Amino acid sequence: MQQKTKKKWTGDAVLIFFLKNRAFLLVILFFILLMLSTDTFLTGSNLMSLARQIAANGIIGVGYTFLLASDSVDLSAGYMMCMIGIISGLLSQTSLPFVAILLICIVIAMFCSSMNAVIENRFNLPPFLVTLAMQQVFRGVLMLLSNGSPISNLNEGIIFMGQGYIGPIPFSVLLMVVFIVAGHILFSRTQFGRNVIAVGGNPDAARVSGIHVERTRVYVSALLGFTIAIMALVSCGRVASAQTTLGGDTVMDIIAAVVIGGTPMGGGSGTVGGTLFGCLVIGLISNGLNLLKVSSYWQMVSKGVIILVAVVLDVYSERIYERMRNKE
Amino acid sequence: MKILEVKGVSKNFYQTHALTDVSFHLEKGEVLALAGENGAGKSTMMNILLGSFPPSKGEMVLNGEPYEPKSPHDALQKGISMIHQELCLVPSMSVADNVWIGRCGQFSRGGIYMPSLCEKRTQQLFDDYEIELDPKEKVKDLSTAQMQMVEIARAISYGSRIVIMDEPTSALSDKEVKVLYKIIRKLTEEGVSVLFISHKLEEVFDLADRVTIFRDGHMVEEREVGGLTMEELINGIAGRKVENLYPKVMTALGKVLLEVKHLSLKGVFEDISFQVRAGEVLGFAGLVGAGRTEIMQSIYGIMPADEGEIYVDGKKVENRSPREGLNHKIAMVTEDRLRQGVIKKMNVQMNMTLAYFYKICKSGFISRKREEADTEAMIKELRVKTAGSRAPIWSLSGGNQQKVMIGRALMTGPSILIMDEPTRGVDVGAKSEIYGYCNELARQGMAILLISSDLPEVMGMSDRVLVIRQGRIVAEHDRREAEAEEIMAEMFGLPGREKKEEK
Repeated sequence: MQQKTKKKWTGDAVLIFFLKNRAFLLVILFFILLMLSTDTFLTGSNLMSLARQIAANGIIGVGYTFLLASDSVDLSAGYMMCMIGIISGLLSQTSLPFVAILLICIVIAMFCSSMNAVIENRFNLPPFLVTLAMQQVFRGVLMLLSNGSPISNLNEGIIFMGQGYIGPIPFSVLLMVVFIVAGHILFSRTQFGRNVIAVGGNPDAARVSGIHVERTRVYVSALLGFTIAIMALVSCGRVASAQTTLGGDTVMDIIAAVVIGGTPMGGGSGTVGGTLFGCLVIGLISNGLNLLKVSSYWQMVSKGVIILVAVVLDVYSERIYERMRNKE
Repeated sequence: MKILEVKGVSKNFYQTHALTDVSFHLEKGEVLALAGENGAGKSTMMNILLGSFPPSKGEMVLNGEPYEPKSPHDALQKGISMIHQELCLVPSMSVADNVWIGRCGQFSRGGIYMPSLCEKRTQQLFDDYEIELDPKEKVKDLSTAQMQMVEIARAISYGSRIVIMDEPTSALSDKEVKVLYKIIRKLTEEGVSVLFISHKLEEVFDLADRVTIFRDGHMVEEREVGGLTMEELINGIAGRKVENLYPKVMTALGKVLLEVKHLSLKGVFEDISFQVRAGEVLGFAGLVGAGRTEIMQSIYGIMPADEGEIYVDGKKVENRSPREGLNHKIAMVTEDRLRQGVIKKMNVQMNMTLAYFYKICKSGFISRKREEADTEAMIKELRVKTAGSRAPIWSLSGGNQQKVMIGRALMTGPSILIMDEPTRGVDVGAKSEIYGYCNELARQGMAILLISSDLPEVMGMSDRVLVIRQGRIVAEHDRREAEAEEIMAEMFGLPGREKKEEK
């Protein structure tokens, strides 16, 4: 039997291999292209700024991978992140110590995020609708809190999260690595991770197998909230001010990164490591197009196209699986 | 005059033969009833007639011309319409709009849709057939029975030559059933032919001119209803005797492992009481929708009952979720493998350990060595044919996927095993293997609850058989005294039969 499986290196199997590792292959492709077309790309300072750019996305990407794997989606994540940023900015104006600010932000984010799942469960609503509405709520709240203007004078701890170094490595990058590794272990080795995949793959089957589907969904959302809080502080710290306008773009970038990374919309499987490469792809597009002095409007267009291609590839690989199954 | 002729039609789904060499015909203006158990092939035949899928073999002739419908819409164009069992109405639209759905163009004047014309035409139709409904009313405000009447009105509004009715009375009250009877008589007077499927055998006698009996995908008998007795009809449906296909091994029974007392769930089942002993296989016979599955689901914890008590090994338990059921050593192989069983994106191992992996977690981490070893052992024990424990679940045949589902239940280490239709959609080889596990598990002292729509199977494999009809236990049979015809009569609920029993 073992022999038989090894022999099956047909054209379809090769295609599947490429589709499965598409994020990694895209990263290599972009790397080579940018190396050849610019001389500023492969400099230490550019690579370092690239790493810091993707650090924030990498952190929330971990939470979002769990969310997509459980067959859910959250459109409100971006504005919630902004709202948490503004809250951290307001708290910075008080005499509260950094640890207190951090904890308050985490608690608020986890609460708001799990409320999404609680509402979805309670009223049996699709996540898309609930989070679409909540996005508007968060947006309003953040405008109310900030009066529409960014807040500077952030707590030093927040600045350190975004700009600090430990040895030669930016703290935010270190944080991202920790999240990716911990997220990978949580996803692939633990009971919680297995529950998430089962809930995303077939909630009915998961339920009759004794898995608490609703509870799992709330936990996943809470986890996303946790990563949102950390990401909010990192990205506010990076620019040393709490912004009010970044919300919408962030969600698109994250969803794109996770899907390109290999976690399908529709759930049932996922890869935290893939999400890292997905974030790299998104980061490389922005970075590369900046270096090539392409207008930011074209960057939007190209990102949109890349997301579309990623989703199409996802459906395509399902079809190839189908074809392989029919051949058996 | 023959309006429709079906000649030697067969239909295979992969390895399964849903229909084999079926031939029958339909006269102009007659009512032909199709009778048979669940899964006998009636629905497959209807779907072929409607063009939902083509036959694998054979041909059909409509009005002297070859008939090869490409879709239900195509069938409609050629004069065959159907009243569906499931309601396909748009709740927010009016009765009239629903009746003429997709054909509103004929009520347009200069490109503008005139609801009043549509309503007038609908009223005419209702008057003709004595249907008491207001064409202007919104469908969402109607009762289920009234919705079914809208569905019926739509089917006849096409002016089709053949109307297919799949259990049209299941949602109707007595009053509407009478209206339907009138409609059918009027249709036949007009020369329309009616193909009629029903599990209520009295209706066959009341309405049909002839009856065609299906069994295991074969057309076994065609009879005039005049001169046919209920006895003969039931014998025809039940057919074959219990054969040696079911190698039941008798084991000594132990103590009572599961006792259920007066279990009720409003509107679903009522006053269910029974006991199962260690080593016993308790069979549940009944029609689909009789409440068998729901009773099992409430014992296991998927759908908790309102009233009644469950005792496991003498101790009272309450199962409000499947996890609680599992904790009380109850496991369930669910009926619908695709919907409630297999997780397509997971591999064999993850599918098999789904209900049990939480037990081998140490502070949240899955013990991978144990998971792997236990899966390998179960694959060997159940003789699952797979390329390995990491092979994708879809690469397995239906029978082997079902073995994985049984493995999933067994890995939780149950003392009570519920199997809901364990052999549905499974090839003969895997079937006999599943019967083999059933015997072996009973020998090891497990209590098994077996639900099956396949009557010979449930009779062949069980020590005792309970018959469920409309949410109640209507009869209990010991292995030795059970007779297929008798159980069949109880399943369908024939009054004459039951009276005999009382005497």
